Amino acid sequence: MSEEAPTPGIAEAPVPDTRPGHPAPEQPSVHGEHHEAEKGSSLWVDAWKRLRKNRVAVGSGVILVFLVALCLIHPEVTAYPYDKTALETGATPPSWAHWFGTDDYGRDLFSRVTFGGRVSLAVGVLATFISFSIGVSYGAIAGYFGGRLDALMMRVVDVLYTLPLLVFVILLTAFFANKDTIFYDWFVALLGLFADNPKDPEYLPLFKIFFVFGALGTMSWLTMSRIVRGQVIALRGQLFVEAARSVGVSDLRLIFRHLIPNALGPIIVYTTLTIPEVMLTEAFLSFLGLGTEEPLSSWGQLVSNGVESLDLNPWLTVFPGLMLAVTLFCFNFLGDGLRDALDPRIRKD
Amino acid sequence: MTHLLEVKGLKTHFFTEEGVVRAVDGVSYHVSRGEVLGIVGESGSGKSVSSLSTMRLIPEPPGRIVAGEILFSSKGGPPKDLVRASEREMQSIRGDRIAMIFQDPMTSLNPYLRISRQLTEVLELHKNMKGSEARARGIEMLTSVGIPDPSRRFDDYPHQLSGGMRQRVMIAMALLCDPELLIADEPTTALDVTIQAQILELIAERRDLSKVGVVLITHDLGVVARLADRVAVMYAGRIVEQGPAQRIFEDPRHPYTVGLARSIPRLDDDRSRRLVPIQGMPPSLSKLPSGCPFRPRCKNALPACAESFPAERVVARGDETRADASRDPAIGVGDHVVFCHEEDKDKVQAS
Amino acid sequence: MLAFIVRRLLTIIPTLFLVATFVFVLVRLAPGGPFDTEREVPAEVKAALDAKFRLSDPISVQYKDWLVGAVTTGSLGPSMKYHNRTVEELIGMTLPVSMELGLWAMLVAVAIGAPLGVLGAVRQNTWKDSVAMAAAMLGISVPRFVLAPLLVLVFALKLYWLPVARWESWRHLVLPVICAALPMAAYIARLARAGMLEVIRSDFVRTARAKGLSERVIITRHALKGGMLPVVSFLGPGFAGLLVGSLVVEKIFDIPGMGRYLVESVLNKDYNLTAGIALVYGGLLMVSNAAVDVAYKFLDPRVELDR
Repeated sequence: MSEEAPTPGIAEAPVPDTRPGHPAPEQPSVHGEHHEAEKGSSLWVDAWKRLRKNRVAVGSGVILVFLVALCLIHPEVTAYPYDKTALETGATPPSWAHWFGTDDYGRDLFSRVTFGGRVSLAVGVLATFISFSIGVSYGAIAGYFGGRLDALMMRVVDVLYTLPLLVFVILLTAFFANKDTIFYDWFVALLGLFADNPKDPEYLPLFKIFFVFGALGTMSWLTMSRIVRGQVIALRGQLFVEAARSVGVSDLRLIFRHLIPNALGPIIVYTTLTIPEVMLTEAFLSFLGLGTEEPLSSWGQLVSNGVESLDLNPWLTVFPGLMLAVTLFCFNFLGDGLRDALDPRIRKD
Repeated sequence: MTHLLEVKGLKTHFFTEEGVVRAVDGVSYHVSRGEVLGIVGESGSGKSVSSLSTMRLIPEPPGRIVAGEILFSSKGGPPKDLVRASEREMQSIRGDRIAMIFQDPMTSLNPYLRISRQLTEVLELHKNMKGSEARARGIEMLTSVGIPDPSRRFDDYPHQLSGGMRQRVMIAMALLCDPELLIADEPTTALDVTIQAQILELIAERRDLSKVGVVLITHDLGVVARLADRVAVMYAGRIVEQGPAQRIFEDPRHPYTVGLARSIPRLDDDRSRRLVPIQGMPPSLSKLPSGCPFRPRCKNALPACAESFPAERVVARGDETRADASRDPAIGVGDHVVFCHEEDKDKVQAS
Repeated sequence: MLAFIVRRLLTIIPTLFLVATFVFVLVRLAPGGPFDTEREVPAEVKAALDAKFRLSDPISVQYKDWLVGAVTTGSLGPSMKYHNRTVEELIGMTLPVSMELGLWAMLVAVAIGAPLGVLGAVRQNTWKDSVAMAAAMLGISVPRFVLAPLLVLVFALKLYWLPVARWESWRHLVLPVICAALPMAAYIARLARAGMLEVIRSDFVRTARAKGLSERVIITRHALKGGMLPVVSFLGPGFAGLLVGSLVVEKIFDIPGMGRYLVESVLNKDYNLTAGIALVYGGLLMVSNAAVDVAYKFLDPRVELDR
């Protein structure tokens, strides 16, 4: 059944959505064929305008930039390196010298938190990058080629969705993040490019962190692939794709140079929302004792250590915990703001 | 005499981030008992917003009725201004005295509730009917709108019915409490052509039998020609021409109405008459041109058109005995009026 | 309806089989065995242990025996660390505890989240909405292992209102349940708000208004059912989230639930126990997803039963 039957009388009328209940119901001039041409540039300009008006999202962005800068700079300039012990003082409450106090080994907690922030943020960004790469390629390929390949690829995603993936991550990190696996050999080969003695046990905790990146990244691309697939299917039928195809642009080029850039809005939004999710999972694993190991620190691991002496030294739990919560909070708000700005149709208001 | 519904100078604006959208910008019309007023216009001309304003169903914010009166005279009583009525008063009027039929029967019925529930709740609310009494009345109503096997259909969910049947259910729902005014917003647009005729027939029958006044909103001149007694043509939030249906079709005066009429295909056309579409696009309601909103698309535009919205001009007097003396100039109910500077030019030339 | 439920449950079997295979193979492919400890075990002892748990057999044989045992007798093999205990015994002990925690948490999450979301939608763009949604965002962003110590710190260590840990009386239940429930409640609030907003804007709610129904009737009778559908479909994955969250909650509050045993078994390389618990997790997740599908069919009459 057609929504609007062909109308005698009003041949030239564009058909905007006039249902009440939708804000700004009547703006005929922004509809119609003129719109397509402007869409590319004005979409980003409009989105930027909308985002700037969203004070919470902008505030979250500013705080994030500050936190990232703090985590990058502070460990380099501090007088109390994250692993410098002072056993004779032990755990001390927050003071002028040690803003967040010190832990049982007399290590400065503020330094440990900012250093741990590097690890946590790196996990968030790198694992998200992996999930982004897999999810975008997978979804774009399924959506672009369609048909049986699409049906099969999406069936795989459906099945993976029903699996307890986080339990798998736990098993993987527990059983495979050690020296006797092929993953360690890969890590050593990679590290060999940067360090002289990649087999030094000093690098083992780093290997564990990299393993967590990989495990989380390869487990969290499902939703991204669905989103990208949907976008690609919607774009596939449009004129510019037909045009590009008719002048002989290859499939892969079409996917990666034309389709994916046009689906960028939802991709950015979902990427922003994946970062806090992955960080949360890393912290969770570290808390269970499966992720980051001493002497390195990450926020989850710091909380895990702090909880041991919660009644005596509560600051050891509270500061890293709050730091993690604030960061996740800001990422989530920023992601929400981006969604509102980039895709007004699915705005939450 | 008082009209069943009289809308005076209604302005409904939407306050959006992009600016003020003047969806309805000074509209006056009236409907009597047993009369069908057709409001014609393109999507975005404000015809739906004006009818939703009557029901006070404009989403606030962003919408708001900023000016005007909507006078409704229930049961021949004194006119009540619905713009100033409380929400509680409106709730007792909606669905009881004024009922509404919407465009898309596929989405306008609640998919999660049985039809029986959606009908009986109206009776429970306004007529204090319960249980089997409400049920019987509901089934009776379904019968009268021509639903086959109504007692079985009564407990169906909407998705089990076809589009035409659902629109019949919508009409039955609207008529349950014997309303005095029926607002039909594009009631046939979403339906197949054969079903359209049946639904229009159903509405005509109701007008004749129970003397319900009808505001019929449509973009389809064919629908208006079939059903309406009088016609108001809307463009960009304003009424540009209003009069008895026959006159509007035979002697359209406003260039926009003329354009509309010319762009309808007719069976009796000879080949030499070509369809003439109206050039250009309707203006953005948040950035209206000065003066007459139709000016940018009008072939006969005059310098005056850029300066002011034209005043009301009476093209032909209707029934003088039913003239409304309260207005200045006194406009009869059957008058053919037009808002166009062209008319003034003719007048100047004639005198 | 019954036929649908049975059919839906049958679809679980192949996926569960997949999980079982994956988990079994994974734990046995891992380098090192359950009895490689720092302390040097005499070779003959290790050989005896390996023989007892049949670790020197080829994986395919071990897998076949494990699977046959699981299907025919429900036996998941002996635990490798808890001597003289079978995996099904340990699960039988710990699963009820985890389920009690999980179901209470789910109940509390719905009871808090759904009204909050409905309030946000009905009072959209007011301060009530903003407060509800900021609270929800907070709930999503504060991890359970941060929330739990904070709650313990305030309510147990400072105010002495509630016990710090253990699993004995209802007072021991309060903090862990709240802790497990709050993040889920936050998700539910956001979903409920989005779902309600969508429904509130729909044509049929406008029809309900045009009938003269009061706002209260419109929300409860016309909007709630459709608006809660996203929440219902979230309960499946949400329950899975609760199970995972229970790993943390059980650790912090020292609750003898299955989550704690999973972590322990993983760290101990207790292969059989790990595989068994992972399998139960997978099964629970799939059953809860199936339950959501069934519930969906009750709520949305448009969904056909025979599909």
